[in-house]
Amino acid sequence: MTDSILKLEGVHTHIGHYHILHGVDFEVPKNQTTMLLGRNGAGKSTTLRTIMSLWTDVQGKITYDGKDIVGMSTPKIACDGIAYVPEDMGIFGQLTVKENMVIAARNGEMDTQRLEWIFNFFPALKKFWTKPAGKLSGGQKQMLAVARAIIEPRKLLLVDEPSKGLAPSIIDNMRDAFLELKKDQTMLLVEQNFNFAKAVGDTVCVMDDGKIVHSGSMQELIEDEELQGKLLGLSMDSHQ
Amino acid sequence: MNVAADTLTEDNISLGQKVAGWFTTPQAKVFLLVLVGSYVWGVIRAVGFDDSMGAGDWTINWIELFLAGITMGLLLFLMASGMTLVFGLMGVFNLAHGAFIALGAYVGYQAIIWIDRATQVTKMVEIIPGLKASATLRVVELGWFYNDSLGLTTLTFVIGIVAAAVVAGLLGFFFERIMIKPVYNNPLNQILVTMGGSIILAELILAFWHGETPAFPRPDFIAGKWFVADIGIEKVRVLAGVIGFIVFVVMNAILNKTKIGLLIRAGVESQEMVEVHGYRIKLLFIAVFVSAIALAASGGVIFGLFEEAVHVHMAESILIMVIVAIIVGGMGSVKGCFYGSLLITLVNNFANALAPAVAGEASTVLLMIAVLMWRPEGIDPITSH
Repeated sequence: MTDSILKLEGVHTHIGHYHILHGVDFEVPKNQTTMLLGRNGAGKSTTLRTIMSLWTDVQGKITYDGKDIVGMSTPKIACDGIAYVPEDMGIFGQLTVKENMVIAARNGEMDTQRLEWIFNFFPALKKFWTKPAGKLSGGQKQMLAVARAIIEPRKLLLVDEPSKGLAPSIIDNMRDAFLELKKDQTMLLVEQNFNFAKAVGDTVCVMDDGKIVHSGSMQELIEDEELQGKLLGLSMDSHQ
Repeated sequence: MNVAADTLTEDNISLGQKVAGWFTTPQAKVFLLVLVGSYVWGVIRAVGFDDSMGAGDWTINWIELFLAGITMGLLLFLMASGMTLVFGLMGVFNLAHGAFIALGAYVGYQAIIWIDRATQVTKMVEIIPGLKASATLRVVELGWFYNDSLGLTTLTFVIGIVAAAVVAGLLGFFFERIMIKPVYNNPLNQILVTMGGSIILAELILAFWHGETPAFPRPDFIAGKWFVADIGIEKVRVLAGVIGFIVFVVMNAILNKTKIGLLIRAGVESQEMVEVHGYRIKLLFIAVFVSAIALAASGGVIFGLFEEAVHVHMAESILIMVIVAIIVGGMGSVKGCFYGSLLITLVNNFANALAPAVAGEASTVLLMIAVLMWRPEGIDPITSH
């Protein structure tokens, strides 16, 4: 059995008067990429925000690296090694690309070798290094958001819809980058694009109405079109 | 790669092109309109309707008003910059800011007067400089502040500024922890709490200083005017302008060259994302709030010397100008606050000279209305940076 770096047990999240997560249970195995799938409004983004303690009205248990992190502050969770890329990318648009990266490099100076490694994935960032991040295209902003998350080694990377709103060619670039990245990075990705998910994911959890309705290997889901139709309302053929 | 064309060419722009480019910005247009408009209006009035003043007299008068407006604007920036930064970063519009300016004026005055009295020595000074006959000498008590020694006066002045900044900063710390912290993200309660805090602080000042409004005369080195040709400018305005400009330069350097400044600029955009990157933004909030109060208090000391009196009601009159400067510049924008402060004091000065009927606060409010009708987000909002 693979060790898990993150485990959610009976997690409930309330936002204002609304009860969004209704007892979420799943695990993220170490050194694997877990895809969190589901229709709009199923609670995927809320799950990531709950892990990061960005929603605070939370019950249940979230164990990360052996510690219960429910109630822990967001900065503490980040310092403990979880990087998070939100759905809107969270770019500081008035800051330059470089300044965005400097903020992400908490421990001081950026590691030049690691930066070059990132530039290999996302060469556009090097080109627009001193330009305001707000002027980048949508794809470049997503590259910057991911680059910020990996500028220092992290134990776990959470990314909310990395392919959202991107042109098909940029999605291909992003998929290649994630395939390279997953070689030595544990990730939990929320995704709506099933092609992207099946290319990158090792394990999969499907959410509906604030609960996990399926967990298993990505390969199983790819091979079972009936299950895809039942869980995601699609088949592979209809989502090419 | 769909990056806007201007981002690809910025590096190739020469200094001349950058300067020329600035003149196309909204802030440049407003300044040009105010400067050229006031000058032309004054010339027409002098030539056509005013027998007591020629165009040449108006030109000298206009330059004096311009210099006075710029220097006063820099002092206003000193007092307003912290408030706009607090709004930009924390989303708190602190209506008690003016009361902290008044507190700074009182504390600075008190510290300076205490030092001056404690260091007083009896001296014989010449009534007519150079004439040392005993009949022309008089006995005076000279302390460190009201002295003919520039060094001692400056030292006392600096101690007064530091005392005002420290006392107001400390009080600001408790104010943020006790009164502001519970109402983050609740704008309506913020208005009530900060307004209430302002009243409490004003009453405390009155109680501590027994309701006095002490005179705060200027020492020799900033009394009177300096003249270049026929153009005169009050020394205290030059002092205020120099200090305000230094604060602007230092603040810009901190915001643009340091990691703390980077985090402040990032926090203005998204507090949440700063926290997601592992930084405790609440600590940044406290540091910025306390610094803003300390800056306001320092400005209060200089404003007290400018007015040659310290009174608790200075809080209200300054607060209106500070708020207008922030709104005209663009809420939360330090650069906008700089432009807004200069613009308001210039308009105020020109309005006093040309149209006394709309002078004072009326001219600043009219300016604010005009700017907001043209650019609802102010002349240099954060989003345009």
